[in-house]
Amino acid sequence: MATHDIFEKNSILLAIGIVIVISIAGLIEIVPLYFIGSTIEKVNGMRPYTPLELAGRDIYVREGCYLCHSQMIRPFRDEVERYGHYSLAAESAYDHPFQWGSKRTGPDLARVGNKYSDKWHRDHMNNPRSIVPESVMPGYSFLAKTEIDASRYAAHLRALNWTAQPNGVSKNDTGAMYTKAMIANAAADMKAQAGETDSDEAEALQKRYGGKLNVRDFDGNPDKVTELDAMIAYLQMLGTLVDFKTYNAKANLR
Amino acid sequence: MAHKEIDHITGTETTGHAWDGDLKELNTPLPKWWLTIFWITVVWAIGYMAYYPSWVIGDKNYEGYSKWTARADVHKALEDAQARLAPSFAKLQGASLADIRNDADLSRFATKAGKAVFGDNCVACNGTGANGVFNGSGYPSLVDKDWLWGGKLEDIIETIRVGIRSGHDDERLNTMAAYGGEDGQLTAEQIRNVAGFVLSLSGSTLEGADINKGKAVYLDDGGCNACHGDEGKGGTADVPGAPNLTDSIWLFGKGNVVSSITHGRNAVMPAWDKRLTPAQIKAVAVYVHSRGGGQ
Repeated sequence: MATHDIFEKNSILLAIGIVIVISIAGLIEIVPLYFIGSTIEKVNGMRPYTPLELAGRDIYVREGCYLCHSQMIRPFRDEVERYGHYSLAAESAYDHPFQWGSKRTGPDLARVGNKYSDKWHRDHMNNPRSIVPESVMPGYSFLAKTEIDASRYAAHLRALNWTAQPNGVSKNDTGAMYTKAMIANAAADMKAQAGETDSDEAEALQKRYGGKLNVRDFDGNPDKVTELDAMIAYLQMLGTLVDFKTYNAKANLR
Repeated sequence: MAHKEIDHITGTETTGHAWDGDLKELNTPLPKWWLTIFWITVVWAIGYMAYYPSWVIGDKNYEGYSKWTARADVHKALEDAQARLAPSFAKLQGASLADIRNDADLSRFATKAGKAVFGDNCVACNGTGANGVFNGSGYPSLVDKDWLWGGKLEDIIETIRVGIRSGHDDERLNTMAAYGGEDGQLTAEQIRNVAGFVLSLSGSTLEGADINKGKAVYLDDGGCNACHGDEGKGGTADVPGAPNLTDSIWLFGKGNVVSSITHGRNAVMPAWDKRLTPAQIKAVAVYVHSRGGGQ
């Protein structure tokens, strides 16, 4: 009995004791994930979000899309048959924060990229019930009317680099999520991706980011880069990056 | 506490603390049944951790005695389902439309499998039950007899496989150009006239349109007949994809004909050959074909 007297009589020690005890489970369960080499699968095709896609992602988060839509196909037969290959950890490599989610009022969006046409997304964002009468999703018609300020995205990319390299990025961009060239051209890249498919700027953008890139006028309004451009650009690339032809699922069982 | 203090009324040990001089607390032991279950769960947990992946050793997962993984489970479930369905899908792949119609089991299988694929992938644009969204929405009904790219089973399969203006290498492609605007081929007046002429083919009228002048535009200045045919009956095998203008089905709306000619129309259907297997494409084509419009 005397052994715990000290905790009963000293509230600071009691608080410290509580913190230590409840930390144990977290330390054991979470910390090793940072060190296991096998947490993130080796895949081909992943690249950081382009500025336009990133803007779409920001709108997705701003509007709370995650409250009804998850972006995680669980490893169950019914989900795989409906949505496609179950989501990989590698596919969230550039997500800060991730959009996994555990509640679905609407369908999972992890692989919605290239599933529907841009016009479908335009109509659907404008008024979901105009094409899906059963839908309970609110309309987001204002996205098409709101222009994006491309100039602030260089700072945004720079900030995201800190999530990859908390101590800053070295001079030669080693380990950087966004290279210096990507940051310097952020505003131009954003305009290029929502513009002509075969422009020089689009080619430069493609070269900088590599991988599969959708370049076109997403919102049907070639004069402006709107939030709808960004939103559709984001939705149309979701889940399309990883090259599953070169992915060895059997080697990544876990 | 060296010696145990027993409360003389209950016969139970006390905790040894005393408050206010003589107030003491009983230290009643836990019930046996509760303690037994507690120790069983502890033993169970140790066995569970040995059997299932549970620990990290160095930078590796301990795989557990069972080597169980969620991903292996789903792969097995998918392989089992595939093995179960493979004979039916193989039969469907090799079957002609007549074969499917003559075989009640195969027909039922194809329609059911196709309906599932349709529900997961196609209803967003083509509506629950394939009846489109509404006349004029730009998303076609698949239950009527109006087919832009062919209503035979093979045509439907090809359309699903490669899509329409989808960017696929073999995409189905034609262009309804924009005829209006500042550097358009036609003036606003000509467009109104030709729209009036086109609408007159199905017995409708358009206010302020000169049908005779419109017909001249249709056949000459606009060159509409190159794709839609001299009689407006739509595309042929040589020039597919142009809608029949003499029926009362208007994909983009009867009230939008002027707008269609002015701004052009180039709706997109994605290609599905990367998402669906050939057998799934055939099944969903059979389902669509069976909805009433198939030729």
